[in-house]
Amino acid sequence: MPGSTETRRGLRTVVPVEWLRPVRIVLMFSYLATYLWWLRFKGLPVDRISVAISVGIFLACAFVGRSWRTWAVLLLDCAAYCLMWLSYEKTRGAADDGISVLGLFRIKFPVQVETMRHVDRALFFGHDPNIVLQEHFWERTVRWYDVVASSIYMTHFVLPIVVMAVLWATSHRQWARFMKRFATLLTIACIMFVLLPTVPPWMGSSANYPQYRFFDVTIFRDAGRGFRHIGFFGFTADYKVQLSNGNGVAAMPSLHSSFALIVPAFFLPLIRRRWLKALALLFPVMMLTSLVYLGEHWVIDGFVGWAITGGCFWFWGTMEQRTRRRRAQDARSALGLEPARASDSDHLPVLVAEEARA
Amino acid sequence: MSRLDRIRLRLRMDPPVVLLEKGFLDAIASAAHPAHDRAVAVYGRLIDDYEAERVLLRAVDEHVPRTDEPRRRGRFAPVESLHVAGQHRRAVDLMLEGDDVSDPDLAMTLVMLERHAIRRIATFDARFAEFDLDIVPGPTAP
Repeated sequence: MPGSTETRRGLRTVVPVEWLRPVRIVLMFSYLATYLWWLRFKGLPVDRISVAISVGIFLACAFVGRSWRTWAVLLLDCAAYCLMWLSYEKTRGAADDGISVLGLFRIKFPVQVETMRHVDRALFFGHDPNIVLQEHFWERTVRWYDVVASSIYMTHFVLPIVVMAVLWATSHRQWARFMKRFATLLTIACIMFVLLPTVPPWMGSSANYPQYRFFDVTIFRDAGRGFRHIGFFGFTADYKVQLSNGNGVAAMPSLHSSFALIVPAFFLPLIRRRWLKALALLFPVMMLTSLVYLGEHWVIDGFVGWAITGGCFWFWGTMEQRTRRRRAQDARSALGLEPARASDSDHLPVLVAEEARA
Repeated sequence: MSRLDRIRLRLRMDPPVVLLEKGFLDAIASAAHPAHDRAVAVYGRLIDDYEAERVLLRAVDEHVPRTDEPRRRGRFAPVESLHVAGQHRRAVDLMLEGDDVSDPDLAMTLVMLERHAIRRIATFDARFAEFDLDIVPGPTAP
C-alpha cells in the first residue's frame, strides 16, 4: 500500500471541522467545576429528582452538536433510566406495607428482626461486628477514620451515577453493558426487600422502634458526621421533594456494598496491573467495613449484595458472549466459513501492532 | 502515533473498532465480485476476532449491502451500523466542493471515520492508504 507514516495525511486535513466539539468539551468542564462547587457549598445531591436534574444537565452538555437521532436515543435511554428508578422506589416502599393482591388483601412478609444478627454472630464467633467496631472506635468527637468511613458511605450516592453519566457520554455500548448489570441488581434487590424485610443494626437498638429493639447497647447512627466535619453540608436542601418511599427495613441486601463492587468490577478487565486491581477491590471491602461501623448494615447484607453483583456479571457476561457467538456463527454459515480457530495468536497484523503499541 | 492517541488507546474501554468500507462489503456480499474470496478470508478472521471480543465491526449504514436475510442474522450479523445524520451529509457536501475528494462514498467513509474516531478500516481501496489509518488487511496479509 502506498503512503509511508510520514507522508500520510490526518483525516482532519480533509474532513470539515465539527465546530461544536470544543463547545461540548468546554461545557463539560464547566459542568464539572459547577458540580464540585455545588458539592462543597450546597451539599451532595442525593434525592432522585436532584440526581436526575444534575445527570440531565451533564448529558445536555455532553451531547451538544450530536445528531437528532443520537438525541432521540438519549431520550429513550433517559426514559428507561427514570422508569428503573421509579420502579425501584415504588417496590422498595412496598416492602413496608406488603403487596396488594388485586386490591382485595395484602401479602406481608414477616420482618427479619434478629435473623441477620444471628448469622453475623455465627460468622464472627459469637461477636456482633457492629458493636465491636463502635465500642473500639466510636467517640464523641469526629476522628479521621470517621471522615474516611463517612466519605466512603457518601460515594454510594455519587459514584454509580457519575460512572453512568461518563459512560453515557463516551461509549453507549459500555453504558448499555453497565446498565444491564445495574438494573438486574436493583430488580433482585427490590424483590428481596419485599420478600425478606430486614431490620438494620441501628434500628435494633433504637428507642424509636421498640417493636424491633433487641440490643442492650446503643448503636450510634450518624453516617454523615465525618462528611460534615470536613466542610461538606451533607445532603442538598434545594429539592425537598423526594420520590423515595422510605423503607427502614430494606437492609438485605446492602445496595451500598453492591454499588461499591459493581463499579470496580466493571472496570477490572481494563486494569492491567495486579496491585491496581487489588486496590480497586479494596473499595467494596472498605465500604462494607464503614457500613458495619456506622451501624447501617449487617456484614451478611454486604456479602449477599456482593454475591448478587457477582451473579449479575456472570449472567450478563454469559449472555453477551452467547450473542457474539451466535452472530459470528450466523455470518460464518451465510458465507460457508469454518468455525473460529482456537489459536489466540492468529490475529490480523494490524491488531497485533495495535496491542504492541498499547 | 501522537501522545494524545497513545493516552486514548490506554484509556479505551471498547475493543478497537474496524470500519468495513463499502467496496469491502460489496466484495463480501457478491460472489461474482473479483475480490470476493479475498474479502471473505479477511472478514472470516475479523469475525474470529469479533467473537473473541478483540474487535468491534462497524459499517456506514447506507454502505451495507441490502440482502434478503435479516440484518442481525445474516452474513453481516456482527456488523453494527453507523447512522448517517444530516451533519455528516453536510460535511460530505463541503468536501465534495473542495479539490481533495471527488467520490461521495470515499468522502462519507472519511467523515464517519473522523466523527466516530475510528482509525482502522477494512478495505482494498488504495486511496485510503494516503490517510493516517491502519488498514486491514495489513501489508503482510494475503
